[in-house]
Amino acid sequence: MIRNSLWLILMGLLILEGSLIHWLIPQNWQDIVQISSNFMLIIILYIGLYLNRHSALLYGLAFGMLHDFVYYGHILGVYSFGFGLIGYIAGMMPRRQSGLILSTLLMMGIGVLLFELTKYGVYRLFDVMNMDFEFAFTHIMLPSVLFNMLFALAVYIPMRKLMEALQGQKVQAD
Amino acid sequence: MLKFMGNKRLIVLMLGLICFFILMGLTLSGRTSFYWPEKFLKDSIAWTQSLFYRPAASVSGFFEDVSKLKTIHEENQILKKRLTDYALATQQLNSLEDQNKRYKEALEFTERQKQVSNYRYRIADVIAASPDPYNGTITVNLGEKDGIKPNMAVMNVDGMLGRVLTVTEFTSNVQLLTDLSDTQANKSKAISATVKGKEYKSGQNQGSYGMIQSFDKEKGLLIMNQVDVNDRLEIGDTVITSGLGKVFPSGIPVGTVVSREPGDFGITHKVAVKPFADFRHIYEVFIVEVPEVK
Repeated sequence: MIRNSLWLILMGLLILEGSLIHWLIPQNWQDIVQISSNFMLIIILYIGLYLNRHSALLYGLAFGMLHDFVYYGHILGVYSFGFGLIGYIAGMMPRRQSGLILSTLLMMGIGVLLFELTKYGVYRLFDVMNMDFEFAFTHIMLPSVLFNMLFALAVYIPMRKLMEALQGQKVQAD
Repeated sequence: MLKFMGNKRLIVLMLGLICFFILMGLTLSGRTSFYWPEKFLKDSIAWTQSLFYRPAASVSGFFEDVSKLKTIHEENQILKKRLTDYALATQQLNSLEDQNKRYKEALEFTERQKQVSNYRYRIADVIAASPDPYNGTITVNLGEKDGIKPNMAVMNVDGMLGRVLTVTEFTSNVQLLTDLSDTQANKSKAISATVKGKEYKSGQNQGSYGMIQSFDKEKGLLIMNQVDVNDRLEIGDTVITSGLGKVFPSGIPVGTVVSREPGDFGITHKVAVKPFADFRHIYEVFIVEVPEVK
């Protein structure tokens, strides 16, 4: 059960992010800012930070690709590329097992911001939209970072426990 | 940087980068049909998503409703009055339709002309909406099996929403108007539009006409270009689709005119249109099916 838990969680989030999340964010916020909820990315960042970079890369590529298929609008591969790359980078960060909640959240924030920048960059590069960077930064990227950090905070304790259980399992297997 | 990612790793990363950019370049907005693994994945995920969108929407809708309870009574009164008007209008419509049919027969309309405005409205439920703000795609629960084809117009009771972008067996992806853009690679279709009451009629050179080409995300307005300087279009007018572009049927309400100013080259005017539809909270949509002429 624990072994399968990661992809089950990611699958659940993939299914929910298109339906629940649009209705959970208060409408008043949505009039001013546009939030992209990358809850899958948060889980992938947890995998990168607490397990290892290779599984983060693989989960990122696979679930990013699923997201790309389901919401195909402009191009395939943006989410897959972004999730994989950022999961891998998160895995390369120096690991401190002090369990500081703040440093983890900061990493999450930076990760989400990097992902948003990648996404914006790719869309601009392929010329599918011409949104002003300043507008995108203040109205999409920053609110998304804050919102996703909120989610990261909410799942911090269960995710830490799960990661520790997974690590323990791995040590036993070795 | 090189120190803690060795040479081999760097090469793999570069190869990955190249592969992804090739994939992105190849799939750049041009495709309307999928391969079967994509279809299978998408349909199975969409089916699961359809279990969640409705309950989530109704829970959130419940809280909105509670806060709106006071205005509902008032609304109810107005709606009751409307209903009687509606009954009257239906009656009139029936007799007018009958009359119209006789006139058409008298004028010996061809089958093609008769069919041209006989649209079918297919009701579809929304299954999921893209969480990516740059990508306004929603998934609806009608697909190839139900006769949905790419480029069909999509609307709801408020007005125009977008067009069908891709179809799979049981679902289809709808590109919302918020994704309209006049950049090179964005292959969204411009919408030919006119103004209600000032439509173009043959033989008469005064119809309003413009092309809705892009969406200004910063202000939430649609931009209509190529409006003639002498056009009679005014601020406050209702913009509807004209049907001249051959992609969308005519007469679908789009929005109201909020501003008009000289365009980029000064030859034509640029008009900002506030869309009727709210693109964020959509429960169900109508897909407009134009009957094919055999």
